[in-house]
Amino acid sequence: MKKPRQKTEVPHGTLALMVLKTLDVLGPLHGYAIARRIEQISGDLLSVNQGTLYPLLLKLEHEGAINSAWGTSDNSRRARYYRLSRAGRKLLQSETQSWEQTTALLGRFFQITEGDLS
Amino acid sequence: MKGLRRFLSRAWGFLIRRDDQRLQDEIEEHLALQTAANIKSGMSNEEARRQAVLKFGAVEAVREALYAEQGLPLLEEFARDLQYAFRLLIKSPRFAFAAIITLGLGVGVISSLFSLIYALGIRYLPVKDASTLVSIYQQYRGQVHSRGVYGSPYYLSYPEYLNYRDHVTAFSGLAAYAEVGLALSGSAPEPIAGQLVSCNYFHVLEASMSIGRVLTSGDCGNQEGPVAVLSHRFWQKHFGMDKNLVGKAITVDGHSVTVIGVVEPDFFGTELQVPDVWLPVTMAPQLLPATFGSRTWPHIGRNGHSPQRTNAIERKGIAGSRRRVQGGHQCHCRNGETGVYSEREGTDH
Repeated sequence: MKKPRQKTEVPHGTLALMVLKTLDVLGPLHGYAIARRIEQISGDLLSVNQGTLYPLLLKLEHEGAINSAWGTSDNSRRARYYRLSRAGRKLLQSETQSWEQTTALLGRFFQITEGDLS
Repeated sequence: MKGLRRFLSRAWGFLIRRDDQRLQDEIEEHLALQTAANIKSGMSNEEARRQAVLKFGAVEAVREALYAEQGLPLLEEFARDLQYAFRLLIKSPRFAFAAIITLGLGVGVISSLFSLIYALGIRYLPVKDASTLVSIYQQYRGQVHSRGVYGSPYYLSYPEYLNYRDHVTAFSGLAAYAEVGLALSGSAPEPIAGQLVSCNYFHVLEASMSIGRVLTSGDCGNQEGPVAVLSHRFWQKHFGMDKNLVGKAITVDGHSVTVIGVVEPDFFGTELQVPDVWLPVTMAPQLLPATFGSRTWPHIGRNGHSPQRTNAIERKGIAGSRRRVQGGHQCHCRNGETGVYSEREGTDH
């Protein structure tokens, strides 16, 4: 049986970056919404084990990158909302920069053909 | 900074309070939302919940990860290990006893070995300006070990000592001492540890006194009766720190000697065994009649000059005594020691 689409594992350390970027773009969100967004944006290509998100959120909160507070969700349920802090925004900037550098570097390697090196 | 904040938050969780309820609420909320979404997409209630839990992953594992993030797992595990070890030891007391004894013995042996090595080879002598003190030894050129007495080149004969003391100008003072076992007479005779010392001994070591005075050259001149300086411990133990002891007589090996002083509590001499009494070297004929003259004496010199200049000055000083010892001498110096080279074997040593 052939799988319709192959899901890839999340590369180590990039989930935090995705979370930060999601919160940066969409503003305060609760955990479920963050998980949904990440799935949607990746086009369901990423198999995020949703549960793993919560320890990560707590870690980011401990590091001061995000804050959290109880709020009310759209269907008037109690939910914990996460918000990007100023330190988190800075962290996102520097992480984005280094990630872009890495991908640009790798990109150049992929573009190289045999002709370029002779 | 990031790490520190995280550590503090975790320490807070570890020491003060963990918020497990929050996690459970969040998980429950998440599952409810996912279930609702599943129902919307057409699943039955039961299937929707099942799929939500599946998608979330292992709830307990997540809870565990969250729990760990809220505390300091390493410390907690360590504490639990300790508890466990303690319980096991209580359960088998004989094994515990053997283990504790073994460890205790091992630690004891190692630490006493270290203190011995430290006392013998590492620390400076516990006297003033110990870094300017040297001990001297002799070497015949080409025969490194042949001058050894009792296997050590540090012992000199008394005439040799006198020659170096009087003619080597490198030192501000050169003292000699020899250990001697004595008997203290009295109502209860007992063995005591003594040292025969040159009368400049306390000057060279810059010892200060609790009461009385140190030996002076007059004490070696035999003008008055024999005298003694006591160690602080001996004074305390035997004479109850009697302040009027100075001028009184004690009897060692049948000879009456007058106590002239007691050293400070922090003066211990130069050997591992702290002597009880120091006597002037001139008492040697009475106390060591058979061996005096051939008796050998370790020496200690104090160098009054700065260390940088020491070598040159010593060379000069020792060269100056060449003629008197018949045969050329050269200095052989290393840190803390000064050797005296003799060029020919069998000179007047």
